Amino acid sequence: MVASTMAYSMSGVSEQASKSLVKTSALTQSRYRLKTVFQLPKSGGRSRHGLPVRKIQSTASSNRRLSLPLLLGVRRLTQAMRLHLRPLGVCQYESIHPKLESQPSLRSNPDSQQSLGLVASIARPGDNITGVAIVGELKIIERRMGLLAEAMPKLSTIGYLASRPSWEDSRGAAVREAAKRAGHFVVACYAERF
Amino acid sequence: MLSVFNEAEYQRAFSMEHDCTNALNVSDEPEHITRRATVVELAAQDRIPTIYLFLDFVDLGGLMARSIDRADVDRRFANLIDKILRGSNPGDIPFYQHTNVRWSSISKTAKALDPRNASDAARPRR
Repeated sequence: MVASTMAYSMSGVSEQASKSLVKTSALTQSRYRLKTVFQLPKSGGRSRHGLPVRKIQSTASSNRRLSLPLLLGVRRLTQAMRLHLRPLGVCQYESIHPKLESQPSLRSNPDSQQSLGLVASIARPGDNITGVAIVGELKIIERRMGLLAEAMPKLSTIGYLASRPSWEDSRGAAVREAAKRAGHFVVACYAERF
Repeated sequence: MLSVFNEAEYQRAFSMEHDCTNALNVSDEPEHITRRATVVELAAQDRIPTIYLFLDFVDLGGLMARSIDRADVDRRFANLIDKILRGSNPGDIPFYQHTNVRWSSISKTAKALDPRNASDAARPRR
């Protein structure tokens, strides 16, 4: 490096320093390179080249104004995953939303999803809830029993494999009613800790 | 919650039904899906004609099921999540209720159980 270049260069090094740089081991050079790429601004608010920089960088991940829409999206997704992606049993749902237990009016209609305590209204669920009804209408229980009876002409007693809450709520009532209509007996095969 | 749906409880429930029923209807609690292999196996051991809540049970050798298509349910879930991420309020999106129900049965299991002539006498005693 010539003297004139050294005089105008902000990062220029003397000839003596050039010689010592050559003696720097490969490991140390590698460490220096890493430090060159990943370094924070100096406390004085200037870069290693002496240029002014902002000590606190504002990016989408650190700026609340920029990241707020993203946060809202993630929160909604989290709720969606918690409430909709897992197949929920009624007991599980009630443990999340205990207030539904205190609204017996939601259970008054035995032939709808509302009766299971899942939502106040299917058309407009309210709160932060929506989803797909995977259980189907209670009529499907009757149709299932009809299929069993069709497949087994000698059928007299049908077992219902369920947990106690299922046997005692509207689904169990639908099973008992369907069996009664078809002239069969129904026996619950439930367990306390199913 | 799901941990309480354990194998021992299923075995106990099947031993309860063995003496008093000649067919079984599995309730539509989704928790059964996690133990579907156990349920199908116990029903096969007991030689009891059983109708299940989802078609997955039939895939494992269960006798028959009348149910919605779960793959379609997953697609509906994806649509819902898309709507929510685009800014819709979940509470304003109506619940989707399936109207197309599929019925499926497995002839191999039906042949083994022969439900047309099934009676308690044909089932092995415990």
